[in-house]
Amino acid sequence: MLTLVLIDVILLVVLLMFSVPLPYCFGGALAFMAVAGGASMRSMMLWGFGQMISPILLASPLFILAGLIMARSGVAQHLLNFADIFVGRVKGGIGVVAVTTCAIIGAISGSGFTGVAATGPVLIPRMVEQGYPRGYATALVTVSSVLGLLIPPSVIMIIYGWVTETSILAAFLSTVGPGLMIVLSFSIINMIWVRKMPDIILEEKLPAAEMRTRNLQRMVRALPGLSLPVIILGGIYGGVFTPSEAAAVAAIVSIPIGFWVYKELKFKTFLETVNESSLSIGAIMTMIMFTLMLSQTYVLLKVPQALVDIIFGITTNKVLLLIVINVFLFFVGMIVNDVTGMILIAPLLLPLVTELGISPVHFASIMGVNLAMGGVTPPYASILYLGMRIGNCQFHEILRPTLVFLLFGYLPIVFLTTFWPPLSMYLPTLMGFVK
Amino acid sequence: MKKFSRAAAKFQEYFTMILTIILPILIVIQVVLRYVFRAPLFGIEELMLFPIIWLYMIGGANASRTRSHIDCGILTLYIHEGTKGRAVFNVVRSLISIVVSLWLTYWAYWYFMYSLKTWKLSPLLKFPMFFAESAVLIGLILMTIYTGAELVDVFKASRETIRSKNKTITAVKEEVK
Amino acid sequence: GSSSPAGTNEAQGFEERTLKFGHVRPEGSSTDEDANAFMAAVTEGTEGKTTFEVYPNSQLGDYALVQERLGIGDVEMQLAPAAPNINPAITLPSLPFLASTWDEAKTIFARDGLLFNEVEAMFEQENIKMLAGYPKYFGGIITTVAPKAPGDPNISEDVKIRVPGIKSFELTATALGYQASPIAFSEAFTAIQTGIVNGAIGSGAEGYYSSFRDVTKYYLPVNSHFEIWWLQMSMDAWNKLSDDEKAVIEAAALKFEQDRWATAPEEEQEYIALLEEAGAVIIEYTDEQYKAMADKVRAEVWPAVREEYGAELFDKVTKK
Ligand code: NA
Ligand code: NA
Repeated sequence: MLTLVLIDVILLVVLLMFSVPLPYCFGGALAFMAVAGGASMRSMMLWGFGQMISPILLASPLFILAGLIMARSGVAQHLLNFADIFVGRVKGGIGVVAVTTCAIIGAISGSGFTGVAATGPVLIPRMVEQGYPRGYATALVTVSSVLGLLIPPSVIMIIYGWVTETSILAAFLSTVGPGLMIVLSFSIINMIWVRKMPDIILEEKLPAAEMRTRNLQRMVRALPGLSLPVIILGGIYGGVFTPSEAAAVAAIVSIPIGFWVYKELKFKTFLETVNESSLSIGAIMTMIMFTLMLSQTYVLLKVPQALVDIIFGITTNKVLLLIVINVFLFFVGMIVNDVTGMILIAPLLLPLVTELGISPVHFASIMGVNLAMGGVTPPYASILYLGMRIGNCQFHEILRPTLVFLLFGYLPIVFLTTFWPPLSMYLPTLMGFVK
Repeated sequence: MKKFSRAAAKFQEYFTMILTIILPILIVIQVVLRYVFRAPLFGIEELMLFPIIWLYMIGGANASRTRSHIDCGILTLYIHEGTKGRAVFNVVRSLISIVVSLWLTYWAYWYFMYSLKTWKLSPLLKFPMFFAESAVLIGLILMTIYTGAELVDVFKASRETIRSKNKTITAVKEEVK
Repeated sequence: GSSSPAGTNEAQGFEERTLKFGHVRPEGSSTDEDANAFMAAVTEGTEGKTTFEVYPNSQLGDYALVQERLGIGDVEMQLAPAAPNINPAITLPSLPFLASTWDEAKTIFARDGLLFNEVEAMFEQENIKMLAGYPKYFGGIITTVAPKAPGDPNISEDVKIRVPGIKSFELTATALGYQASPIAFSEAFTAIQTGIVNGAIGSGAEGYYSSFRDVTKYYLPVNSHFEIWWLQMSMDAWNKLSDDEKAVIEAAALKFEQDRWATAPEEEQEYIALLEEAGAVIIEYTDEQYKAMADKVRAEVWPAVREEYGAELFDKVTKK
């Protein structure tokens, strides 16, 4: 059976390399599992439909819309102009802004799609304008987008709490440390990398007086736009709306600001924006539908169970086992989405790792950082593909920078999380969730 | 025929645009009802599932029509446009798409018939679920038709490339746009 | 018993089979253990010929979806509440305040009683063989704010609580003095945490303990409804069984149901104690207060949802 899955993954890679449109890549891999693997298709469309209408998924299309409207309405530009008061003259500054913004968006949403959907439409073109290669800009925003799963709230941590009966708040807090470390490591890599970019354009240096006037102007211009993050963050933490409702609010509030305050939105551009959004939503969501159906065939065949049996047959040494578990989770992230991975793997692994003396809260964080990364590791890389669409970027352009960020920025934090428990345990302990 | 397909395309485009804007409006209305009036409407979430699934599926069809689904061409870096190899490559790619699309459409048809037979009603509003579930088949049929149209275009262009060795042919993908 | 459409299988003896069994609770939970005990009994009774693939945690989709998959024949078994997708009347057992005490529940939901047989027949219409009932708990309310007047449903609590998208729960919440808010289950935890709503109705101590204990300040065991789940089998799979296999499964199902009735009331108390241990204040009610709540809900909610379940069936069941 594992041979079958291996063939299926190879087939998926081949279809991807042949530039087959993504829904059909996953549809093809699904067809193989149905025909050769005997996974029954009779209730599969019904299952897919059920997944598509679930409220967990609704946040993605709403943030795609919100991101584009914020970009076209001038809201996002004026916010970035505001940020430029501080970083406009710093080489690589906007890269750090991108990472930080994704972390802040992470505090709003519970999914990994949101960061790139909401900030990509404006940050990527802006970075390209300032001389960053398109692939680099897209990759940076996309890999940072997984912070949505590490900075609470987080859908996968809620699920971890449910399936392992662990405190959800403790699970939320466990990934904050690793999340902040990733913000730091991505920012550092960005600052180093940018030094080697030949075409970076910085804001020109103005005389102090002019500078002050310009900054003041920018501040005033940014005020209406600044109301947006205030409304969103205040609304969520003030108990007015849920994270996915926040996306809808952001989209709707941006419209009048764009039409009447910044006057950048005209009826025609508005329609174009909506049309562009609906195209993106269609492309992403049909892909997600078949990726989820493919995941379900693996579930039916008990693939994760078989894999877990294998890895615990390899070794009993704690350190080695933890490394093997990380590698295993990395592969799980390559073939299924984060939520599926969490539902399937957490209950299987937890009893085994607790025997190794690992606390469920620490393990929440290990699983979180690993599965969050899954969204950007091909072949099953929904967040990466969304990034490509939003950044208008080819796969070969985004691949190398993505791998560099993952290898040098993300993986070290994964290992740190695994082997240095305080990184995950400090906050939950401080807040009294771990005795 | 051309006229009809253009009209259909326009219709789909406006259809998804309306749905895209209806969704956040419904959500914001619900937030206001809940927070300001403390009386949210039961059934809005249920009502939303209809525009949601139609948006996804017809949006997917629009992406097929405009040939703007995401893809991960790695091989296309090495097999250049205008060569015989690329012509064959393009045909193979389109053929794979259409075969997969037809297979998916077949199962969507199965689901369509199941939905028709069971005729489920939504729990609160008692709307027939068929009007949401049928979106899967309609969307996939449209995707298949557009994928088929792409195959025909690719086939025509590729045939020319294979025949005339020296002539460079612009990418089909760009030609359409 | 009926034979398979092909009519090829022997009426006696055991054949090699693997059945996919889904349920909605985590691995290692009491529900999981009960399900495993049932499966072990079947495997043993069939001399090891019938084995199971277990899918805990709704891995095959939410229970409503899996119920349809059973009807289609893609999944063989499920242990879950009855879902209203195809026939809303099948959820009549969870009608608010149908039963008030465990003794009442034992009578109302008794094997081969009126309600049990009706549910069995409704499952059969969905191509599903209902093998056993599985009582879970009485429903309650959790809140993050101290109740103003516990037990007096006529005093408005002025508190928003999360209600599942089911009409009877919406009306019950209102009748008990709360403001009902529909929030998706997946968002309910953060919604309570940030204060979009200040509580929830629709589950019981065990359900709240596993999903909401971090945000539960008060538990109000109002006995809003009686939660009973059903051991279900795809009729297609059932029809393929030999008479011997059917007998083994029916015997195991009967024991499964009886064992559960014996342990469920005690388990309910255990979970209430766990909630208390996790920091929740448990509100206690007098018999008069229970009666006041029940009377109000029966008077206000029942007439409004009667049609939902089919008036004739509703009257038969509620008449006692
Ligand atoms: Na988050
Ligand atoms: Na992946």
